[in-house]
Amino acid sequence: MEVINEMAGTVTEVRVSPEADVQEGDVLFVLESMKMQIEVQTPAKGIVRKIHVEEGDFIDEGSVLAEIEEV
Amino acid sequence: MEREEKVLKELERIKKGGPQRGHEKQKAEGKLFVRDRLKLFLDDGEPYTEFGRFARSGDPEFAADGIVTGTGKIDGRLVFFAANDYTVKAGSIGRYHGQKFILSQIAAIRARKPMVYLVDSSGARIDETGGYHCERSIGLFYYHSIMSGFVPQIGVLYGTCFAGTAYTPVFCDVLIMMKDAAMAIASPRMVKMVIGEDVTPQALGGAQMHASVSGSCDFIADTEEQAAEIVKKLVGFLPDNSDCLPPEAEAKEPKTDPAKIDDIIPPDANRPYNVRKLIEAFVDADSFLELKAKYAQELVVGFARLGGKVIGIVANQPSVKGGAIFPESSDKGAGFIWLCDAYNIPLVYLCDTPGFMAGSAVERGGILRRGRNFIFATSCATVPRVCVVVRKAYGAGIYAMSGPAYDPDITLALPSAELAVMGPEAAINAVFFNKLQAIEDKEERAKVEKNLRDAYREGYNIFKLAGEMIVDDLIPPRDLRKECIRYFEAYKDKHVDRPKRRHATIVGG
Repeated sequence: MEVINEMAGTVTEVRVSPEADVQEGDVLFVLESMKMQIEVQTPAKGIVRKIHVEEGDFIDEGSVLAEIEEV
Repeated sequence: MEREEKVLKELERIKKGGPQRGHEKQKAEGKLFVRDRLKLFLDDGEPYTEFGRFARSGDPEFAADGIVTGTGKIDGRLVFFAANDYTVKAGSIGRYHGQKFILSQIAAIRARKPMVYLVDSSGARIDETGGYHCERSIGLFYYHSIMSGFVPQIGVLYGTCFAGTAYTPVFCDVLIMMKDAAMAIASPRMVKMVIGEDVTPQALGGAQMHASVSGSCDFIADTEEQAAEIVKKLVGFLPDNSDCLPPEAEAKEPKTDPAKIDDIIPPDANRPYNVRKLIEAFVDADSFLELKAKYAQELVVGFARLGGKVIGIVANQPSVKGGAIFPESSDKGAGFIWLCDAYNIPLVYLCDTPGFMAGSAVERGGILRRGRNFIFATSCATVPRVCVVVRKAYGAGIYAMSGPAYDPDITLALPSAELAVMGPEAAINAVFFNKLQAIEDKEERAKVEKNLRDAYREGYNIFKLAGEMIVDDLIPPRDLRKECIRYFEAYKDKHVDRPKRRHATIVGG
């Protein structure tokens, strides 16, 4: 499953590393957008297989932030 | 008498609906027979009046021509209804069926009463209606349009509904879809034929899709009982027509003590919180009914009661996308404000937004044009309006949220309020960019930047703004409920005259 970015902004925190176990609702990334902190949560429980962004990246709406294998 | 017996016997047959195979099909799809369905809605378990019962009575397969139409009482309130009978030719719209539908709409207009549509129809009965879709007698969407904003129209969609008939659900002021229902302008089979796309009914137009992506559905119901409960609640919030006030109920204290409001709003202006918690600490307990809860979630809209009286709430949601206003949330806000204004429902705006979203994605999505509709709807709404500046009120966001310049009856600020063209980070960057870049020493630059931000922030200190009467009043958060109740009471007979015109040129407000 892909974690899709819903709000264009800049990545300020990557809180997860590859192969980590995540629960639904865990915060994976924090973006800054419109001077607000926007938390990106995992839509499902699983294992993080790939992270596509790093701190400082500008990420548009609709881009894939990470890939999660559902468990 | 034999004559009376004959009528009674025939009525008994008609009430049984379609043939056995029709009933089996309906049951197999987990749906109720229309007359059992109506029992969930109506006070006496059956229509109060019903007409056209004998439509097509000569044909045993076409009981009432597949639609039950008339009036019924919902918690004592009389409403008109039209409910398709799927056991008769899959609820398809034949000549008399269509006529009954339209006659009930015309009747609701004359009687000035709300109309409930229980939609369970496969569409037009093509085999019997040659020129069907152009006949004058089938202008149901014409009547939907004429009724819009005059009498409330509430719809429930039970099954799949493709092509023309899918307009009835979307013409309703509020639409409930059963979880397995679907609607689309063209069926998957037609889609495959005309554009070559392979798609399932659910992916094409399922309840989830319409509730979260298209924004065409307000509620998803898991059971028919649940759908009926939602309709009953909605009827309780809406007046009979646009000349009436919504019904009152007994006042209840809020679920959360209003004294907690100050703790609900975080001290750091960039930190998210769930605005529903603020709503709970302010309206009558368990009265909040959120519409389109899964769509454009950065804006929360819904009906509630305040001291027993109906209000509409428009609230930015800081826990979703920072509470920024997007094209979709602009539509959602504009539509809800228009609905409340049509039916004399006063509005409370809870403003906490960093403004309209910026960037190329939202520009392509028409943020200016659709944001305009939000500002337009607010500006034109003549129901009593209270603007509460909860926290951020940046940029044009506060215009849409009925800010001081947009003619609210009162603007109340909480102590956390920040009214500014933009936040301090963006403002200092915009105004002093060159000056800051010219400072070579990084630490020095950061220091100067911080001082500039602090000075900027002090410029919109809420005590200062209240002192300059930019807001009408600064209130202790615990008084929010009390103040709103009193202002709405003060403005209950509000009347606003606007310049005479045929109508605005902006559609979709």
